[in-house]
Amino acid sequence: MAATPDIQISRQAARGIAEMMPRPDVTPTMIGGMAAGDRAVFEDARKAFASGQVEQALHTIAGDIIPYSQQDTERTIITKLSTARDADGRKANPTDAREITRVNTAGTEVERVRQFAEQGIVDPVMADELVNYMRTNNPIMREVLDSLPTAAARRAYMERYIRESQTFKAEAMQLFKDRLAPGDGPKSEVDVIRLRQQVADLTAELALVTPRGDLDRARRALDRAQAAKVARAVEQSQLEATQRQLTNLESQIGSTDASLARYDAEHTRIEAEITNRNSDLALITGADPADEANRIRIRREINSLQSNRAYVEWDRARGIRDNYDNLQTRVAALAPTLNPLNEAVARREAEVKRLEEQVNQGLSPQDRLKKESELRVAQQNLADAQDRLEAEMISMHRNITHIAQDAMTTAINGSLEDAKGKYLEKAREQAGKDKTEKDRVALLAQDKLANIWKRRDRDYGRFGLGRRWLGATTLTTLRPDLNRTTRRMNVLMTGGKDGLLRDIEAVPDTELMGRGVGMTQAEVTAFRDKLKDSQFRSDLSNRLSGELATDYLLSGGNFNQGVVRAMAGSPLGVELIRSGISKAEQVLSLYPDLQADLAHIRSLEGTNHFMAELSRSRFARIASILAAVGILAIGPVTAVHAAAIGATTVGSPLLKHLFLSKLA
Amino acid sequence: MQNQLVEAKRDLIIHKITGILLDALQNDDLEPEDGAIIAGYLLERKKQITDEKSLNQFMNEVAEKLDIFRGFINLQKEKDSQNSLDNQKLEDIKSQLVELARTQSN
Repeated sequence: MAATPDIQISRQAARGIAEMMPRPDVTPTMIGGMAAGDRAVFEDARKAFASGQVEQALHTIAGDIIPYSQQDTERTIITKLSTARDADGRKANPTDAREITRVNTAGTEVERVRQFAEQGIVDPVMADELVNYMRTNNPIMREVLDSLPTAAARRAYMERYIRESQTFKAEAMQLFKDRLAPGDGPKSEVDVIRLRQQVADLTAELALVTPRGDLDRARRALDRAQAAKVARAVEQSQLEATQRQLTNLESQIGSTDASLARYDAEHTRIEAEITNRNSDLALITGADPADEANRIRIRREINSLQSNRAYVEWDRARGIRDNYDNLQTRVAALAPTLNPLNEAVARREAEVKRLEEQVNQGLSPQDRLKKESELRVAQQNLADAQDRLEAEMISMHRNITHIAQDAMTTAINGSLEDAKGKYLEKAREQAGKDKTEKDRVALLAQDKLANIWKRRDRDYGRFGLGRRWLGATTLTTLRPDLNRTTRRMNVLMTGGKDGLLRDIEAVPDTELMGRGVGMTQAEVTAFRDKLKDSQFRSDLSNRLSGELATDYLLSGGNFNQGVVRAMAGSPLGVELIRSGISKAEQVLSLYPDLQADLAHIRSLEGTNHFMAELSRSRFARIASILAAVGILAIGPVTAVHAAAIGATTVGSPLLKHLFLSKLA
Repeated sequence: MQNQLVEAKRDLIIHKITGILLDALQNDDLEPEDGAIIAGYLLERKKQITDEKSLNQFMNEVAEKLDIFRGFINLQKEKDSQNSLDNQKLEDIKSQLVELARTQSN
């Protein structure tokens, strides 16, 4: 059986289907109702019944009333779409901008659906959203909606549709109950929380011990500080030497300052006396011995003063003090440059030491690497879990905000299934008709195929061509042409039935549609199309072979001995002969002139004219046909001989005999 | 007056049936989906009860279609029948009394 063709939904078909969509025939409460295990519904109904509101109880059982209040659904939305938590760890209003948007849109959409489900009020925004959704997602509805002239008309259509469709209402109610049932939030949230904790734990654990890299960095910093210090080595040694001298003097400086203080007055007095003595000495300018003696005396007094212990001690102390001060000055000059370097080195050394201790006390490098790897994996897992959570929340948001859209899709699809079923049924019927029609056309084509080896022939009646110019009516017929049938018979004999069919298949369309064959375009198409069917090919090749054999005989061809033997020696040949004989009988019955000729021949039977008549060309043709007819009577095996004999010039008497035996 | 009586009777029967329905749901004798269908059916049919005849028809339908209500409906019918019998008797007595009074006055 041929497969049902694919039905392309054209705009016209879409409208047809939309028109065929059945209007809901269920009562408002036939679908939906109390979901299994939905105790909330039952409790609400029981409560209403107990308070005497019987009708309300029935509506609740029937599922006309959503069992969750607005507060319930708001809480459910927060649970599903928010990741924020309050101080007690309970889900709270979101703080993330995207979550805020989602929660708000979900709340709005849900209340629109509730308003419709419970009160039958269609929010225009909901209708518009449905129009947009259907235009985008449902090709059939798009065709219908697009055929409406304005947005207002489309909205009105949608409003009317959803008001009338109880399937939509029931489905919306059921989806509302399913998708807004209080329960858990996104499943991935648990993973996110667990992985966040894991990442935090690992981070804290790794922070307790110094990473190896920190120690290496500290060591490199120490090296740099030491290198800077080495660059100032000369100044550094000077400073160190000065500081050493200062350190050595540190112990004396106290006593030195004490000596200076103690001997300062005595030293000043002696210094004044020495100054006076030097003045006196300058005044003695004579060269007499007295002067010389005075000069010696004064010099002795000066020496005596200068060797005074207080004077000597003060000078010594003064020297130490001055040296000390100089050393301090030098240290003060060098220290500002060199001390920071020293301090830096000291600090780096201390840092390195501290880190070394930490490393020694903490994780081994292998353990640290392992922990770091665990942390990386945990961070990746956390990122993935957050992505999953986000996706899950988007999906939940979509589910909550698309209750009407999904209900509409279900309602439309349900209607479409029915409508489409009917449409397909019609299409199948049409396809059946088409098939029959195609077969019919193919049969016509098949009938005409044999014209390939026929020729147009005009019958001018008994007055022959002489009547032609007198305007007598003529009858044009197609008659088998000996040349053509012979050529095809050769094909048949060499290529078999399939070879014959292939030969005919190769005839171009133009020739098939030409005056000789007379096929129409539709017939050619049907014929070519049907050739793909192997059964058809087989049937057609059988039929054509038989027709050809018959037409060959009709056109004056003879089965010579070789041909008949070749044919009779194979199943194909036997089949051909049988088919040919059958056809010949039909043909004979259709040609009164042949019947008349036969009658004439029969009338001559037994006379001297018989063979003379039979030898006339017009009867030679009949003789061949009779051979075939005779074959029918005496069976294929004898037929070989009969045909063979009949095909020879000496076979006429025997042919006559066979002919008579057939007709008797 | 007659209408009010029918309405009162209708509400009473619906009330009883709803109670039976809820009990059946509670005891899991009835699937929630079936309960929803029955509830919807009752709501629809209730609107069509306008007189005694339609009420009786409703009760017959309910008893015929829904097993769980059959016992109650049959009982209710018996009660109604008894009431009707009693009413008939009362009517008979009343008419006899009227007849007697008329005879005496003559």
